[in-house]
Amino acid sequence: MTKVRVLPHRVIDEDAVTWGPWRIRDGSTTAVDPELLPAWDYKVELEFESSVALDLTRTLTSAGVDGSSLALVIVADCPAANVRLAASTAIDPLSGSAVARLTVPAGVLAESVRLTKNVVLANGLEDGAAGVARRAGSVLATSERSIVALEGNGGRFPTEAVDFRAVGRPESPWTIVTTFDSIDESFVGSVRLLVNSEHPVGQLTLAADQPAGLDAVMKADIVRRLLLDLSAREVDLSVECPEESVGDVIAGMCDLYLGMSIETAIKTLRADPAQFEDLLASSLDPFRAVWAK
Amino acid sequence: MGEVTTWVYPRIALAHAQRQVEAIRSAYVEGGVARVRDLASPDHPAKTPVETGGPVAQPGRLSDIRTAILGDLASWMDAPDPVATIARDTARFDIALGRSLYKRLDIVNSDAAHLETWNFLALVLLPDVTVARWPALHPDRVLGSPSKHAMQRLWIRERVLGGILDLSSPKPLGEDELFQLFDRTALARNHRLVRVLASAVIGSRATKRMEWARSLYKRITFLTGARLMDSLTDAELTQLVAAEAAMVPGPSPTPRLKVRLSADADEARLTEAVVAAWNAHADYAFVDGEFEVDMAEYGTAEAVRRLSARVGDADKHPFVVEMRSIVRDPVLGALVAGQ
Repeated sequence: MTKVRVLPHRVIDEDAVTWGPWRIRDGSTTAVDPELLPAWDYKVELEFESSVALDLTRTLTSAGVDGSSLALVIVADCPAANVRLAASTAIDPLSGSAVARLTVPAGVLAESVRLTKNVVLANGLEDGAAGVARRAGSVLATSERSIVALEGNGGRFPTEAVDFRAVGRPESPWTIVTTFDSIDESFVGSVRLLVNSEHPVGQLTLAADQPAGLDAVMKADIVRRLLLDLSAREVDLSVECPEESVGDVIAGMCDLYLGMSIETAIKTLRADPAQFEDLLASSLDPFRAVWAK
Repeated sequence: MGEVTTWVYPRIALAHAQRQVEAIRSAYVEGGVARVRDLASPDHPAKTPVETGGPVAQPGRLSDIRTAILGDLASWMDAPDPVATIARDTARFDIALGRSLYKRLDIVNSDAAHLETWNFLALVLLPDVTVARWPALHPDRVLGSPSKHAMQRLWIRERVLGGILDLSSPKPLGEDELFQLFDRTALARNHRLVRVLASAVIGSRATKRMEWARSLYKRITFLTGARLMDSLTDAELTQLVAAEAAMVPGPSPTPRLKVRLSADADEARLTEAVVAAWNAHADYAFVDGEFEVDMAEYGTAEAVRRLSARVGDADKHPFVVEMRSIVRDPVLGALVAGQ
């Protein structure tokens, strides 16, 4: 499926593009469309490979460009390591297909990598019909993004186990600590769930087999604490939030658990905290699994 | 991506890092940077091993690294008042610290991506350096995001820009020019584009370079939706940035201080000598021997101080100082009249 974007030039019809799967080689093994590379570490070189097949007739009718100047560009984007790498290969003008490979040396990536495939105009064109891409690098099609976890929480909530007494914290089972100034900052980089490693309930949350209901209790508490934190700080909620930012992640939680926007959730929390708690309880229903069969 | 890095470092979790910040804060209040120096250590009881491999730097190596970094920063850290010394020279200090961290740590980039690693380096191994640069210990600077962190941001800048961050430059990239560049995180992950942009800013003769740079970054960011910059060659990126730079609106006039050399027989030799001296402070040096200090950037008092320093050399170097626009400024006018 091709991602829909509003661009200042014509793009290739979604149906005219067939994206191949991601093949990721780490050392001696190759995984197809993996969500996690469990064997990856800082010493492992990765090779990413994918392909595209274009219907050249429909490419011409939809985007206004023929197949002679197109390239497949695969991109490995790693916000955690502050690096984005790309590899480009020309699309065969007769078959409309191409395979691109990108080798990422060991020790370059961290946490997770976002992968996209793009069809771009390889070379600038002298002239063209109105609305037809002319500049080199113009994006004509982009695939859905794939995220591959490499290490750490693997997409789970960023968590630290710590003895609360040793660091001078009240001895609760867990707490949320935030260090962001603006909600457009990285969620993983600025929010931590601290679990008290010496509290019996904290220890249960870290165990492989948690008791029924604990996960829901924690989720409800995390949502509540994050919104209380935002409410107390009076941060600007109108800033544009990139994916995986504080605003993006909390907005996702509000949508999933409360069915409302982040702004409405904070207003509800301030104006009618009982209603907020009711919404949270009915959505996550944290105590049902504890006391009801 | 030809970097070959070797080491991974101990990490400390946020909760322990917060406690360490409080200890540093108390020590600084009690006895300044010297007292914080006593907290520096190559070890921490709560340090955690790195989960994903690589040789971990041990306390012996960490002590050597600390010594080497402090040696690199001696002109600031050995001053009687490191905080004040650094505050007068932040751009150069930041470049020097970033360069030193990059060279001495030799850290695996993957490891440098983790805040917990920087918690250890900034708060356990080098707390005196951290507090000397950021004495308020604002969480953004000591526990914050990569584009703001006291050390991680400088390491990233050095990694991406390297020699473009020129310590001897008469006007190195300023904090805002760099922050605006690296805080546009999606753009900043294209290292080739960042290098081209930084070079364009350094080469700019815009009077208000900081504002000019912001405009340029915005224009390029705007283009990144429609064009995949990662697919362009270095030459194409350079051409693109040059074309956009040419369209950034020019600056509005600002008051400037001008110094003109006399046209005596030794002018060429004298010009060369004074250009070298002035390059340390002035933002432009013209081939005809006219020098300018941007008052808008330095402020009137500092501009006068710098001018006075040069005027004071007049006995040794017999050139004439011609002050023109100065007299229109009430503060400067009074000083000139007094002189």
